[in-house]
Amino acid sequence: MAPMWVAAQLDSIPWTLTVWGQQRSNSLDRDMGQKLFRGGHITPEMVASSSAAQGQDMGALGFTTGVDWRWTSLKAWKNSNARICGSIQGKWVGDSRWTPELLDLVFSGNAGHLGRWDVLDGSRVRTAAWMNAAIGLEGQNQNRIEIGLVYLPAYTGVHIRNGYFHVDEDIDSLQAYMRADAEVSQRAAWGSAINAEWHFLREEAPFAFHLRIQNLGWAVVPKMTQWKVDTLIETTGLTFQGPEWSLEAVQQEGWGAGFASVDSNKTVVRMLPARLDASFEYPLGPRSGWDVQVQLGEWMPLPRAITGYRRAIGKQWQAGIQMIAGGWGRLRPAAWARWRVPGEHAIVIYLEDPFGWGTHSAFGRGITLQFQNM
Amino acid sequence: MNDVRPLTRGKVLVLIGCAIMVLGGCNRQPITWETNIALPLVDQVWTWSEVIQGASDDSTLAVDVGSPGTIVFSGPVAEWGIESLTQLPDTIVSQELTPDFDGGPFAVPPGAVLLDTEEDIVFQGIDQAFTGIVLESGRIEYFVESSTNGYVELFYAFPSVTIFGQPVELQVVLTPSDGVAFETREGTIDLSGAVIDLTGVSGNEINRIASQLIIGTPSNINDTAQVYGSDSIRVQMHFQELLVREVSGYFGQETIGFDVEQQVFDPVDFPSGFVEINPTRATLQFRNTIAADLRLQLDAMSVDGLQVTHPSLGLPQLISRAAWEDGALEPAIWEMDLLETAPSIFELLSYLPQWVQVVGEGLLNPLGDVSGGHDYFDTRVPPALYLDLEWPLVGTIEDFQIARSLELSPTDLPGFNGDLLVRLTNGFPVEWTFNAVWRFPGTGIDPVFIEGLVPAFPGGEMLELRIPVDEQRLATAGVIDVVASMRSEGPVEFTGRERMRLELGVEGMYQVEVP
Repeated sequence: MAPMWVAAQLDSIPWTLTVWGQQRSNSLDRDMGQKLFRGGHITPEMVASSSAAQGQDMGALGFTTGVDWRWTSLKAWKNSNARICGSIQGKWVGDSRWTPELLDLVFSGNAGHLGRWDVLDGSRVRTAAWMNAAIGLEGQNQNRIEIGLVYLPAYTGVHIRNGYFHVDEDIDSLQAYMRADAEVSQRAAWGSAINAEWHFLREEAPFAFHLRIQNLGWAVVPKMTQWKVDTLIETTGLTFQGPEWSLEAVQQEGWGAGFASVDSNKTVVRMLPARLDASFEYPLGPRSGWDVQVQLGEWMPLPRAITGYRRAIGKQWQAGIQMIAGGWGRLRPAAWARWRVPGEHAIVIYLEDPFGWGTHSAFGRGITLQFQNM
Repeated sequence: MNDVRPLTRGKVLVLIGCAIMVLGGCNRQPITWETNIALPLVDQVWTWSEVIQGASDDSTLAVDVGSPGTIVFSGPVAEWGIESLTQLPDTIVSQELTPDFDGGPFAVPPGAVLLDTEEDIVFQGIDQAFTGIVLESGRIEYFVESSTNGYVELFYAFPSVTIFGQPVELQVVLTPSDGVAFETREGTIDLSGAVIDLTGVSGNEINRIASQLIIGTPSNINDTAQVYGSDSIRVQMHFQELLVREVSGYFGQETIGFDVEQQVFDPVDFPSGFVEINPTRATLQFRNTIAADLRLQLDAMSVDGLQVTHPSLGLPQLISRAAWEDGALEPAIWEMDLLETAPSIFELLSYLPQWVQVVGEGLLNPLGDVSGGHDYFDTRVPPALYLDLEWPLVGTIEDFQIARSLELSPTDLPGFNGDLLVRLTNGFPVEWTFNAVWRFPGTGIDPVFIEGLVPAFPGGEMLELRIPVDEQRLATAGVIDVVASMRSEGPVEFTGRERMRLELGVEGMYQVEVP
């Protein structure tokens, strides 16, 4: 009886369920990204291809995946025009950056470029996964604001603030410097976040404008383990024996423990990777339009800019094509389609870099599925 | 009332599809790739100090740079241990309390004292007359037992034994015996660092520790003991392994044998060769650090069994007592000039002998108790033979070999295939021959042989070798035996600045695996 009741309730209110997953890089193609994510052997050709694609830019790889269920009640709240609304969202975001030298050093080694100073500044990896259960009010034009309770079970980050590595051409001296920190949450965090939307929709205006902000908030991590390193090593090699810098000493258990300071019981506040979307829609005709969108935040190294063309096909279909720049990757296409049964429901499928689904050389791919109960 | 409709099949399919997408991608395997590395590993420099250091690890050795350079060696080469002054015999003290009546029981109320006695614990088997000691280590193992049907309190105090200024005391409360078995208690008191006055209860004795023993019933336990004539209370204190740090008193007239066999060149480190040694100063000193007179007679000196003579050998030498004032030592010194030996001891040392032996004897307090019982010895500063040597670095060197062994722990570098780089830079004005074997004991892996000739400095003084290594050798515990030998064409003058530098590096490819 209970599932039937839930199903009945779900069908009685407007709600939207969105599931998405996307991975994007400016230098690691789909093959390389898949190996890093799912494992496998990375060949020198794959590394060379990535290195060529990256050039002298900072490398970037990011992913985001999750599920978002949003609903709005039909009943007015306290005799106003507003209605109670809410959402439950589960999200996992990952971001990594690296210098060209770091890619070369890690995947090719240093033997091929002796005498070069490998700069590691700004390289980082971080991930966060959280759930946000929010409730709020929706007013005219579907403008809404929600405040949510955030549960963040995992937060991890490694950041090389400054670093370099150098071995001279005769392989008789090494310099390495690292000022870095890393942190891993040991216990789940709780916090709060705001979601808000504002839509400019006027019958007299030939265009529409939308602002949407998500997960603007924070979480208190009650037990975070943090490592900090600020160490310079300059050596021409170790001595055979000695108390510290010798082959004998480095083979002892516990050697090197002093390089990093560890704080294993720290309470810290961390901002969630919030995201701001601003989009502009301009009708080109009764059945077509032009869209422009900018997305900021969510740990993306660059804002994501989107422009596209949309067209209605028949009474039930709508489709569009887009070009996307920024985010974690370079310029790529996207396409979407929407099938709608008026007054009942609609289904949207959105493919980012559709060619990424058919070739191993694409730099990522993304898919979004959305079901709207109207 | 809203219109309520069931979920359609299409919606259910969408939800299932979403769940599959979210759960997909969980099948993960290790990430692997191959990387080429080139890293310096070892940079070891051997100076004259390191070359000679193996001959005497405890010495103070310095190299004065000049033309020629000079090796200056000043330090102890042998210490004289005197066991009779450094270890006290184990001593057991037993006390037994028995009632002087038959029958019973007699009621003994709480707080009653059954025995209160002060007496000395005498250390037997000591020939010296010690008045005080500070212990490096030691302990008292105690054992108490009672057959009394009532609580028994035992208080054993040693007012003349203090640790960090606090007297050592033992307080034990025994519960009532069941009349069948003795009630017992045992334990240990650590005496490390204990300061012990050995003048006894009277303050005028020797080799005695004052003690006070009180046996009674505890006043804070409301129990009346029932004592029978057959009851007994026994206490046993066992002083064990008393090692002395400082001792004072009269040490007596003890003759102590002196047989010092000092290793000079360990053949493991210096297998063979000849180094011409012509010191300009070579003095062997005996430093008396005991505040007691000493008559020393060195009877014989030999180098690897070959006797050498000296005018001082066989003659008794009276060495006065050392002065200890406020903890500061002023040793009494007697010395002999080693340049007067025949044959020359340094000519023998040039052939890198293993042992130098000095045999003799010393008599403590040859004139009796002239200090009135104020002899003093700090075992941390024992009497010792010191060598004071100045050796100009001029001479002939013939196949002077230095050997070292290095154990290498297994290093897991999967798929490694590359080279071990060996680079030798010679700063000595003599030619070096370098031989090394990288072997893998207990395995069937073939050893790696490395050899090369490093020309004399200046000019062409570097040798560079590449030795192929692989994953298997790196992953196996190994030993590298290195033998470097030096040879000169006739006499050579060294400045003391000479260095031999060994650099090891690794270059090759290995497979990284990230689980």
